Amino acid sequence: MINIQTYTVLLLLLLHSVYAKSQDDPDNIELTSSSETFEFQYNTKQKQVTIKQLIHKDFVCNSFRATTPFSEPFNNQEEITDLTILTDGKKNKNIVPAYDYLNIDEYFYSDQKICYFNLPFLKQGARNEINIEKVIHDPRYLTTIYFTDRFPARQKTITLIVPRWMNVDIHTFHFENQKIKTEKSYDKERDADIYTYTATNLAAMKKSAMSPGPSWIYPHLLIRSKSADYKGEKIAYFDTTDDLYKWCYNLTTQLHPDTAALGVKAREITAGIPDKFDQLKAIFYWVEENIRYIAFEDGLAGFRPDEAHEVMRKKYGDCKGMANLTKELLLRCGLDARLCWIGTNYILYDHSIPSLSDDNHMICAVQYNNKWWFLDATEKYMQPGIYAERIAGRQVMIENGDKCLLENIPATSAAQNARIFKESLAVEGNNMTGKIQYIYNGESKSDLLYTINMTKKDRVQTALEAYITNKNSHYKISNVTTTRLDQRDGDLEVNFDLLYPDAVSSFGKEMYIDIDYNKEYNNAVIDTVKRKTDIRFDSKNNYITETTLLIPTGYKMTSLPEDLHIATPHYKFDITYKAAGNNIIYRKQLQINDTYLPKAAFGDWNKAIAALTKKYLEQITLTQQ
Amino acid sequence: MYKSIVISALLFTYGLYAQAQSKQERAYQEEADQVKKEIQDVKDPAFAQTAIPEKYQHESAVILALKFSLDADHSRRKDHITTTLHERVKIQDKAALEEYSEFNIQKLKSSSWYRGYKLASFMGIRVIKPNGQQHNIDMNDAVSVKDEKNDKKQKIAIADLEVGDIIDYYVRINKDAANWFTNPDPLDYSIGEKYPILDFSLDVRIFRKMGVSWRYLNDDSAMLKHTKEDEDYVFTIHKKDVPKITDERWLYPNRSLPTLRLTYNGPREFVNGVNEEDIQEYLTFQIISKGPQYAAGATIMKEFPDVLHNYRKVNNKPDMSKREIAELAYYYIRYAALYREQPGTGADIEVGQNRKLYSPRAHFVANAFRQLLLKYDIETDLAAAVPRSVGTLQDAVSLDDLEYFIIAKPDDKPMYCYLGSMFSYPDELPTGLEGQEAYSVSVTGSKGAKRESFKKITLPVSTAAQNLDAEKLNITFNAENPQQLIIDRIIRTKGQYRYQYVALLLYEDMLREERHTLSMSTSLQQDLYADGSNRKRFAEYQAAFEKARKDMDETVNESIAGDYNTKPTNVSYYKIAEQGLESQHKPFTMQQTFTMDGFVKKAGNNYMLDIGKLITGQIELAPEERKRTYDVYMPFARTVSYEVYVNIPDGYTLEGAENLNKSVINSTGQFVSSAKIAGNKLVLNITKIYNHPYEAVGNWDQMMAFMDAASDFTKQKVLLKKM
Repeated sequence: MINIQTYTVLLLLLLHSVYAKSQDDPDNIELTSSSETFEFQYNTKQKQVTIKQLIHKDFVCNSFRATTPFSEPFNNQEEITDLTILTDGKKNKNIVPAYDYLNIDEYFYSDQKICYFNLPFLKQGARNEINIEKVIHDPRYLTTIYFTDRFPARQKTITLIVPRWMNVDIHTFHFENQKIKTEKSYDKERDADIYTYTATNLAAMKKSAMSPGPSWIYPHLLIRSKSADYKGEKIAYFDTTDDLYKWCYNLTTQLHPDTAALGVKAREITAGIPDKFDQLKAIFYWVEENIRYIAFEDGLAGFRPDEAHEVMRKKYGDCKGMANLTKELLLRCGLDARLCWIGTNYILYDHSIPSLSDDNHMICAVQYNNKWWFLDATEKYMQPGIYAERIAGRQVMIENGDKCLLENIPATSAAQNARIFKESLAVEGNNMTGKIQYIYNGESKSDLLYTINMTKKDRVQTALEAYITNKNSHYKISNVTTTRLDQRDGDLEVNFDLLYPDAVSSFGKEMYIDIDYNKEYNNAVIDTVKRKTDIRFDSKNNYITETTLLIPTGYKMTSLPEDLHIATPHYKFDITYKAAGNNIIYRKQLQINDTYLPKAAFGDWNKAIAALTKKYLEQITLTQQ
Repeated sequence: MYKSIVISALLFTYGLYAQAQSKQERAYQEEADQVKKEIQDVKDPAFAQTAIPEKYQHESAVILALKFSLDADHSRRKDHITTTLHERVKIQDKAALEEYSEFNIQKLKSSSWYRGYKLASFMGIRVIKPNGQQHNIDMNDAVSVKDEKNDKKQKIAIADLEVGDIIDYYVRINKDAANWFTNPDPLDYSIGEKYPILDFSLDVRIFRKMGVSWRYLNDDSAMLKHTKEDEDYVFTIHKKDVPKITDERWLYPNRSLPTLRLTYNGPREFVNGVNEEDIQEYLTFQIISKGPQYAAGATIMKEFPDVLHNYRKVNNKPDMSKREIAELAYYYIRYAALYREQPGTGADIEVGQNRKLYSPRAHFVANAFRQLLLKYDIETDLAAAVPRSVGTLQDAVSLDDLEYFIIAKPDDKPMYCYLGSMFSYPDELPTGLEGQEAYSVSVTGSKGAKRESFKKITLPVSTAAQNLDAEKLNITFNAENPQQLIIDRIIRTKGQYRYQYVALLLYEDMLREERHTLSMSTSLQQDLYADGSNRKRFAEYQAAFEKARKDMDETVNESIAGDYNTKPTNVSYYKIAEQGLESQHKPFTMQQTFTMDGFVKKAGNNYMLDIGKLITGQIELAPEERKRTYDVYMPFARTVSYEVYVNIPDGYTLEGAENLNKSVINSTGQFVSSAKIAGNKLVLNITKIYNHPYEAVGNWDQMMAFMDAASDFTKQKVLLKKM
């Protein structure tokens, strides 16, 4: 359990293959052609711009009959107005599409809905055509358009019909290494520019574990509607980042916090705490500790926060509600707290292209001592100034009256997350004994605190032991002590005594010692045949092990493995062995410096992992004198 | 124009729907208020409790009170079943907080009027703070996750719930269903939760005209009170301080926890257990002769004589014993019912893993079997037994608890003919029925003779020797890279163990083998229902077969990775030498050759082999598993054996073989390993045996002794020392 990261890599790679198997055979059902057309239209009655979207998908069954599920998402801003299914050229009236809320485990509630049904392919060569007509009621909600689909496509065409009264920017992403033809023409009748993008031979978009968000890896367009001027009727959308900000900010101005109740709570939390920074911490920790995170994606696609006093009363909220409560409580302490909109590292873009796709998260920022402190209470066990990988270095849009402030969350280094194991080992007979200290920092600390605090009280001790021993009952630990497990400040320390029977392999006069019990990243090879997407690690892991092994009397060290040094911009693996007097000093540091591992770096990663895995198999030899 | 009409029609119906909905919503609300009064106004002292005994201070949560009630009523040709779960829980940590912080509710579900099915549920939640303050959760705060007229699902997050609080909630489910279609669901209530319960009560009331069959298991029978009140049968249980359930491995709740089983027996009576006469009547006269006919039944009767004739000719067996005929009939029926494609229009072509899971309907198969054997003067009995996980034969409360199968009597030895899957053998019972008592009745002969024949029998149990998984490993160190092992592995399995390898078989190969063994004269296309006007299907089958074969590489890789907890570096050879589809053939045998890294450690010029890791799949018991409360129910007695040959490379000697001799033998089982050096080979033999499928909890220490020995063995190493 301790090398969670290692297991995750392996497990996820395994899972990936299972997942891939449960999907349709990509060669069996294929899109012969697929197109999406978006036409900006002006609704003179409602005086607003809408977008008519026509989707056409033509599927063929290449080898054997099968039924495949089909779904199309929609929501309150995006309506499906017509849908027809043609099976082998004839209108298929047997299929009754169901319209339902999308139920995803991660979300308590989402207003995202889907229209879904099963598409039957009754024989080899069978075809199904789907035509869907949608209306997008507000151009702000037309953001990304992807070329790739759940099925492989021989051809995909995206067409945008943009009347000259509409001011739109089209940004393209990941067109390199793709066959995408771009054309632009002018339609006189419509007085519109027509942009056509035709891509050919697209592989299916497959979910795989530890993947970066889709905007990082798949070819797509990002549409930014700037403004409209229809016969003198002017509408401004997102021309500048400030326009985006105003739109988001406007949703928060509709909030009416119960300042009295919030004030009472703020005073209660900070009672007896004179120092402002300590107050800041007290408020932040109170929200982390007392507000359960429940994801709501409701109303205006999840941009409007819940009232702070309501979150406080209910003791649960989503990121928006938690950010808002943090802010309101801090304001009551006289601190300069603001709401922030941020895109986590799941998203490729910053706010330089103003779009509703820029942000997927909200946090709170506090100006204290001429410095911005960014507080994300959804992290549950984080300290101020320590940043989770998903937000570290990301650009934030900070609430600031009429004009927003753009700042970046401080970038973090692996040093923040140091997880240090200090082991003092001795050999007794064939057993290994020792005193061991584990010290956790940064994300390694918050992850462990979260895991322990979510474990049943009566199982905490055994869970902690299982975590330390990797569920190996032969690795016997005793006298386990820890620093307080409900405490976010300071180091998290775990101390214990070790008795590891038969850990030492003795044959004749020789004794072989495997000095490293926790073999992080052991065998964490990436399957380069199956893996189609880049990898995003959860955090900048930094595993340090410092071991001193006392050579037993009557023995001398006869062989030590060689050191290992591998350094790339993405990671660094360092292992050294030293003999010093009657001690052997082992030091290991495995450090992830860049959590984004592109496919091009997989080969080097695998080589490094192979070397590391081999190193883990090397023993220290002691010989009787 | 057309479109606008459609839209206005939609608007119109939407309006109607909205009106209907509000009416429906009002009716729901009224009933919800009623339910709330009924449950929360009762002053039950158990539900006023707030104190936790000292011994439970360290539990994640404590159930202060739990009450389960069921009320079954019948009127206007409908059964009305009302169940209520009322629970009061003290939340003592965040894990429990998380668990009780959200609820899903199927608020409403109904189906078309003719089935008359309607379900409505009502929930009420109250949070009680340590200072005694309490607040009710407003159920109107629930969000809809499905909102259709006939299907409404909601979710609610509990506001202001913290560690230290008490959550007191109930769920009431009203279910109405027309009774001429099916009986209401039976009740199997086992008492015990993952948290301790301070006060448990159960209250079941059944309208007497509905009739009830019941059993109360694994507890002092006096704990269950049953009375007749007005028009109802009433059952009540009241228990104090019910411990939490911690045993999870090899536990059958129905065999170990206090359990109330109950079904409605129609307008009959009050029966403890099931009425033996009913079973006799049913077995003797109903399921076989009146039972529905198998769709393929006629074909089976017509085709088998040809199959038999052909089989005799091909195998040069003019004189087949009755037993041989019965066995052939078994395999033929298995083939006709499962292997062969049934006429009809299958929407999908399924030749992958799911295909192998097809199972037949017991009644149909039993009937086809009986009729077929009758033709060859082979007498048959029909038998019925209760699966081990459900209980003993006496624990049955309805005919639905029974599983049926035929016992053929070709000679003086009975032949148990249970057909559960494509892999079933004649004379082999599913593990769930082994050793159980069964009723048997002759289904040939006169009415009187049939009646006479009704008796109780005990079904045979397979032995540890019969259920064998034998693995032979030949281990070579890669000459260029001694840290890499080349493993030749042969797995041979017999008996119940062979089901573990079903995923490694290909339906295409199974089909071919069965067609060959049965000497089928039909064409493959005919058997796949891909001939004549359907002949185009055959190409699709071939494509699907090809894909399944391609997918098998991955399955094999995953299976090896699963066994060794490490992915093989490369799999160079894989073969199913024997599919083991028929008991008279050689047992299932699989060969694999693959390379593995990570099992050989380097120590200077020497190498250390983690030989124990080659003994895969050993159970390492978690600390909480070592203390056991309940008896041990395993699927079957079994033997696992390893025969390992380690080829010692030239220039090295092997040390440490003497440490590999271990032996723990007791009445529950054994783990024995022995090693010797023979020439340039280390030969290691291991046998692990679980003697019985069942052990009383008192034997747990003995079981742990040999299981621990096996687990310890996985840490063993040997040294290759450079000469």
